[in-house]
Amino acid sequence: MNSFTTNTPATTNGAPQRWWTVWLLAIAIAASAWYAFERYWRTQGYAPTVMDSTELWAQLRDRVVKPSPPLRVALLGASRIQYGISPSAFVDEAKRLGVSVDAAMLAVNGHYPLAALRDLAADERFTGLAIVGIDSRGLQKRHREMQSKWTYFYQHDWTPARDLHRSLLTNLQRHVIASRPDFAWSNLLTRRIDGYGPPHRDYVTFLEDRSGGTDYARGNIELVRAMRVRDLRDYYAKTPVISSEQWLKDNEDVIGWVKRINARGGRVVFYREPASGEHLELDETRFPRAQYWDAFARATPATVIEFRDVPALQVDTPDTSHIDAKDIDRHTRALVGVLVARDALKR
Amino acid sequence: MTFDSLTFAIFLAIVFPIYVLARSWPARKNILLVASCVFYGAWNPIFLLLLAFTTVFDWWAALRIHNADNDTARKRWMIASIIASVSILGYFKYAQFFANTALDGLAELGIHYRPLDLGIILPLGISFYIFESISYIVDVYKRRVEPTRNLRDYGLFMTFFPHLVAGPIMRYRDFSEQIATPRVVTIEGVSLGAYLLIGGLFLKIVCADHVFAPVANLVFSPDYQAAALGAWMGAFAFTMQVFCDFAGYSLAAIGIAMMLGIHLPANFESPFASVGMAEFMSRWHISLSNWLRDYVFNPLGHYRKGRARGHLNVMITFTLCGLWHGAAWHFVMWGAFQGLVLVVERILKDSPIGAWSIWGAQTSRALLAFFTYTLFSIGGVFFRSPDIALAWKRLTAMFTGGAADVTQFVWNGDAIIFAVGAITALLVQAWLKKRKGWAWLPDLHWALRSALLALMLLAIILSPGKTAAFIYFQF
Repeated sequence: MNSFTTNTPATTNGAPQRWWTVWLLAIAIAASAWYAFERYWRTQGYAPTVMDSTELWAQLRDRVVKPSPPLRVALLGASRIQYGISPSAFVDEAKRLGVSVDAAMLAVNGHYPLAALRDLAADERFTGLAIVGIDSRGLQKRHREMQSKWTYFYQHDWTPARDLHRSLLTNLQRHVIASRPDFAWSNLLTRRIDGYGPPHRDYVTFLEDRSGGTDYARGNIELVRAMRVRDLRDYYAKTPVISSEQWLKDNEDVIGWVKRINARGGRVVFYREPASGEHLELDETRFPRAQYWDAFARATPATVIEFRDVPALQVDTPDTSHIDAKDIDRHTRALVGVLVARDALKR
Repeated sequence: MTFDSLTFAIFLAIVFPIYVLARSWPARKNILLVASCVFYGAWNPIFLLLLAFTTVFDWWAALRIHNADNDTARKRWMIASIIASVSILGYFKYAQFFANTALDGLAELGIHYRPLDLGIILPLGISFYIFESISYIVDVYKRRVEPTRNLRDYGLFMTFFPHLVAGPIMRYRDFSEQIATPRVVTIEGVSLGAYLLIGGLFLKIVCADHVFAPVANLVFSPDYQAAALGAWMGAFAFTMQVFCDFAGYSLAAIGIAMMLGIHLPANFESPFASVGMAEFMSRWHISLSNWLRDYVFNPLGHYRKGRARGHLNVMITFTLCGLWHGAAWHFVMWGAFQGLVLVVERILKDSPIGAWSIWGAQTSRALLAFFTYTLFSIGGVFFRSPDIALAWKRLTAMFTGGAADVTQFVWNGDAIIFAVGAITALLVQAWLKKRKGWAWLPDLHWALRSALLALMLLAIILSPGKTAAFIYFQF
């Protein structure tokens, strides 16, 4: 039986349908226009970049529950970890110090990580090391669900089909400017109508391992610093004060998660990342270290690291809250050194 | 796996050549069945078991109905099968809703319980395949179709991947007639089918997600204090968004099936060119409208038992239609609103007003078409809002201007793109209304077809990032 015919019937008015011509010409036009688009934006100084998503997060979340060795390291936190630690430098430095690890970046910009820690604690497959970049503010119960969107997605919607889609998309995003949402036709047109011009040139980079870096030399550092401090002032003005007693009581759950991970051979490290200037002063005013962070350190069986206690971790933070891209490698290697020294990262 | 994912592109690139190259028709049906199971299992393999159970049970029940030697036995098997189907749908889709409603009711009486989370995951496409299954059983019972003894063929009807998760809702007779004889894949069919697939993706990725969603999402976000203009724009934008989203999915499904040589029924036929809600409902989600007509409205008695009873039947049918869309009161309200509009329209048509000659004028018809779109958009506020409270807030804003601290709608880039898109969509639908189906497309000059295709391809390529899940996947 012939299951495929190649005869092209005529249209109702007798003319040939010419489908081959239609398709080949359309593909040629679309491909040429796409190529011109890519060329144009490259000449304007833009480049392709991988974009973050819940799917990319879930891919890495999958990796931290794979069997050891190597030791699986989950890097949890918000922007200070995501834009302050390099997973590849972490793996490299650990290897240099004799520890074989696989580090996965699970930090999410702008979202404190306790939901992700809870998710790992509930996952019996996780027996690795969780490094939780956080401060006393982030340990408040009100911020506990910030990353639950990501954990929910992983637990309910993550499928092999999405995994494959994300892998293909990552490859596409590595090579194609058109795959950047800020270069969508609608965004370019909207910006033009609204008088904003072409998209901003990035001073923040993002890699497919979900880590990034901020090149403050390319941005308006005075403006960024002023915004950071203003945002923090606004936050503290709007957020009710919580007593250290209540704060510690709330964190009993967190301590329970640590114990659960420890019980199956895993480990947890809480790391207060570098901050400086007015940012640090505001944090210290609302959450005095002795009553909050140090009290938590005494209560938890986890390893607790405060950047002010370790000279090597006192890296400059140009915007008062985040380190510059050029310091990420040094910061990461210093942290690995501290983890090894404190036996959190075991040979 | 969704049609707009890269995974599906790989899937189709593998399945299609294998299907075409297979030597026999039974082999090609086997390939489609396996591919459909992979397509569905890629979302959650466990729920393949549920789909398999529904398929096998109803296939077997249909044979029992057919073989029963008396009407009582036939009826018992039909009822058993429908109860099984409705129970599955009821548990997975409505158990949480009814539990919450019961708790809310008790709370009104002063009895408070902790909110109950049953943790039930809604299986993808369950509302669609359960309806197909019920229609098969009823049609066998009514002797409209002969049940098949071939489980593979029935399984293929239920699982055929283009229509499995979001329709169009097929009738077994339409499908069985096609798979009884080998389907021939032609260049014409593949080309037109692929064209429709691209057209469907264009509607979804470009129109729904980039043209209409930004305004709808802004206006329906709970924190947005909508003024009258903003609320109206949000309602109009959402109506266009849901159309492009769902019609896009349906068109892609029809196109993929056409590539495989199988015809799926049209699901949307220029609904925004409809004059009146009755016509609108015959052009919007056609396969569901027909299903509700044949398996709910007609069995209830249609208008045969008098006008009042007929109006009640319309209300029952459309309220159920709302509940089918989602297990929440705002969906029920949406359905009831559509039913109410239909009843009022029917009353007016039956009154002397309906006989006025003015309704036949071209301008009147154009205005009535826009009025119909407006009415549907008002109902759409219930559909889009996450709860009745927000829907009421937006409706209040539409008709009274909203609260004192409203945010004035700004004619920025997003709004202008939406407005241009909406006007274009209305004009295109008015043009398409005179052309049934897609037979007109091959008649277009090849250069025009090429230009249109190139434009759609390029727009899809240049529309990354905003792609959201198909709205009807949640049903």
